[in-house]
Amino acid sequence: MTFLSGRFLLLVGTLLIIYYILPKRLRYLALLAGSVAFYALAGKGYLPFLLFTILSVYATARLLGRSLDRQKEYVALHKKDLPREALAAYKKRQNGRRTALFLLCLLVNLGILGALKYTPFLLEAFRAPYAVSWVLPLGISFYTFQSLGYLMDVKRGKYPPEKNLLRYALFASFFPQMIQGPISRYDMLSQTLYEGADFDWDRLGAGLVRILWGAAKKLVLADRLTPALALLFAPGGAYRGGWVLLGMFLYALRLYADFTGGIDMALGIGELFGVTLPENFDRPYLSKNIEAYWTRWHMTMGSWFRDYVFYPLNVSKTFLRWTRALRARFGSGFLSRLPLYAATLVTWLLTGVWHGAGWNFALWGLTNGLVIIASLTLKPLYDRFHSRFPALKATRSYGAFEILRTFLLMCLIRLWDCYAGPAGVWQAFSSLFTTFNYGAVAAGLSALGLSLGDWVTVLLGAALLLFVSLKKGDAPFRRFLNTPGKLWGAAALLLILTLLLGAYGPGYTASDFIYGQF
Amino acid sequence: MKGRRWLAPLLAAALAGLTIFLLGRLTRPKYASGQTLEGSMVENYYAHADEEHEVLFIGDCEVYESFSPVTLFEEFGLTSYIRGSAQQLMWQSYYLLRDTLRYETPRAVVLTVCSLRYAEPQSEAYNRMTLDGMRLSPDKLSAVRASLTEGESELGYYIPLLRYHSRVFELTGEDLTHLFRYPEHTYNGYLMRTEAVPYTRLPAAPLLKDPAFGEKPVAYLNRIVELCREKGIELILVKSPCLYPAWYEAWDEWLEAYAREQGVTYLNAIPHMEEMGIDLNTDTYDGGIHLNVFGAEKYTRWFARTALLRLGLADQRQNEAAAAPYAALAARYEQEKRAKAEDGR
Repeated sequence: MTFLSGRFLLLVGTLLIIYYILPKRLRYLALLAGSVAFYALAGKGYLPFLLFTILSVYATARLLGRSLDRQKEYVALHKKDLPREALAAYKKRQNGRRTALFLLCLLVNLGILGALKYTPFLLEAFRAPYAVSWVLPLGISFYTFQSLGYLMDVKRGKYPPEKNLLRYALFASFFPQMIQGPISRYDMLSQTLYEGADFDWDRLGAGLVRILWGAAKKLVLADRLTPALALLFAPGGAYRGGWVLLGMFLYALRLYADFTGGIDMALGIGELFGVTLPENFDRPYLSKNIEAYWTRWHMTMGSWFRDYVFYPLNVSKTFLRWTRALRARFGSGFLSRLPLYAATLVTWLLTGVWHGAGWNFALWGLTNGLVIIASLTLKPLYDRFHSRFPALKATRSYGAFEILRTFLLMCLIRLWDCYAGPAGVWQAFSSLFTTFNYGAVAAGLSALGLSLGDWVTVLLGAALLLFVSLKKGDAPFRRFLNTPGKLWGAAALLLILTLLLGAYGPGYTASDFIYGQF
Repeated sequence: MKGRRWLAPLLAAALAGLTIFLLGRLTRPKYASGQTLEGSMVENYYAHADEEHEVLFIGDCEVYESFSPVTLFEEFGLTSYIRGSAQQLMWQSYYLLRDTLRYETPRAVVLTVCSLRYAEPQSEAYNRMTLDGMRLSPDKLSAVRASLTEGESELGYYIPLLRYHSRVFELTGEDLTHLFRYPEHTYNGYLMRTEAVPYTRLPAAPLLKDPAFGEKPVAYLNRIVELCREKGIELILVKSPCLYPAWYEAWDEWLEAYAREQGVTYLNAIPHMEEMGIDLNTDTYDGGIHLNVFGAEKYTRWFARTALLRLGLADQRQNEAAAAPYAALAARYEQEKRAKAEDGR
């Protein structure tokens, strides 16, 4: 069951009524019941996996919290009567126990995720004499990461563990974020998840507008491009040269419309219940370099890997020792930064394989890592260049050049998404410079199965997305929709336009979000 | 204003609902021109629902291409209407009969049995031609549910925009002209064809592996029999004189036994084609699969004499109220027949 199914709409509608009928203190229970119902309806056999993660992480977090509390009490009690070394040894012992407990829970949950997600691929990759195939539980990557993020925060003492199992279960399973995120942090989400919002027509309208805006992006733009992209990226390589370039741009548009559309819908659904989910995008295609891009695209995933993989790795004792040794030997040059680059590559490799089981995903991650490393390494050169031409950076045209450069770079990296295997990617990439058929592309657009009306819709849709991005996201529109008439009028207009111009029905699978498969 | 926060959502919902309704009307296919005209026929009935119809024909092309209500009235004084559409399946006929009974109760129902051969829904296109024109009612809901093919969306039958929105780039003037009402091509449900394509050869009948009809169509046939019995309507099951698709002896025997058991009439017209005077060189428009207007008139006469007159139905030609719609209808009918004949169509 996904956002664009009749059953889902029915579930949300029913849940809304129940939610606002119940007393405020019980409203979170309605959300939990709705989340369980959503997950149970999404697929047979999914629920036990979710339940296991909830129970294991909840119990581990409680034990970690209790251990931290006991440690605090012990230290406070014995601060005066025990020598500092004894207290340090006690803390180290306790920390070791907590780490063991934490690692056990982490490995079991990652083990389940890994086994389910990667076993079929690994068996095939290593040419095992047998194969397995199964359907991955919906959102397993998202809820596992969200839960483990919570566990790490509790272990670090960032906040105490949630004592109420039902409240914690809701945090881990809140249904709007199950399909494709965002990956929420407990300290942020819990501020609105449990409080039981008051009924408010304006908030309901705002939520609806956000949902419909997301649905419009998904149905009018992303799904309209799906059949054309299937042709362009079909195995066999019939479309080369200019077609690859066109495919890169269309894929960028489709991915953006699909993913941000899904996230808009998740955030909008949250808003209907007064729950604030974290934003996941900040106009990423206007980024001026790849590091900035990755702080603006799928922000909750990026920050998750940064906070729970990159930083812990980069400041781990092993890496710090390695850095010190290299600095002592090679000074502050390239070689001394090897640990930083290694941490970057590991983080990006994991980011890649998080997206899916396959060489392409790993290579996609590594390519991102390598480009970031190259960018970091060449930074002194850029700085020197800009210090010689200080006025250049402030010009609009240079800003536009930087944006275009980053966009093109990201499009090229995404070739890993589009073609099967390194050979396919290389052939497509190299044809950009060897097959000069750009005139034929312009003349042959109708061969992609899109009518003139479709192309006009795509162009207008893309222009609208660009306009919204240039207007600094949806904030100005929210300011414009400042009366109930405008707000609900916008909702009605979006609904009508989506139903009229959406590419759904026979030949389209509207409910499949690209990120839903991760 | 604070106390009336619900007003804006209510107005927006009403506006959206109305626009979606109008856009659904605009984008749905109008079957106004070209080869496929059948999709408008089911809806056309509602404009005639207040007229008196003693005989109701119901079924697939074997009724709407085979019986001429104009001939029936002009020559026998019998009022009738055909609620038929392309490949109308047995369950669709059942729900269309129920739908019709909401407006009138005919004395006799003539049901073509050809569709008994279909045990399951066949195609969305045919479903649409039958069901889109049905007014929203519990019968429509049931008909849709019984008819859905794999992957079809039920909601699209109630909110046409969901199904036909992609036609927004193909709209023509006809879509605007027929925004609120489908064009009417028929004469009380009879779709006139005047071409004459002689019978030469038809594909050989495939071997009948299982002579039994499917459970589903038989169940709905039972429901039709029951409904007619309940309403005191005379039911006549009929196999029209078409040479293809093949009609098997085993099916004929089954229907004869069934009719005896249920106490209804079953008529297989195929063996009586010569008696009717049907000439397969001049009376079929597609080489023997369907009758043209000349064949339909001959068949209608034969059928009236053989099956309808014995029911004691009154001659309505002197009944002003009943006869009124037929004057214009007959004039239009003759005009089209003549015009098409002159055009050589």
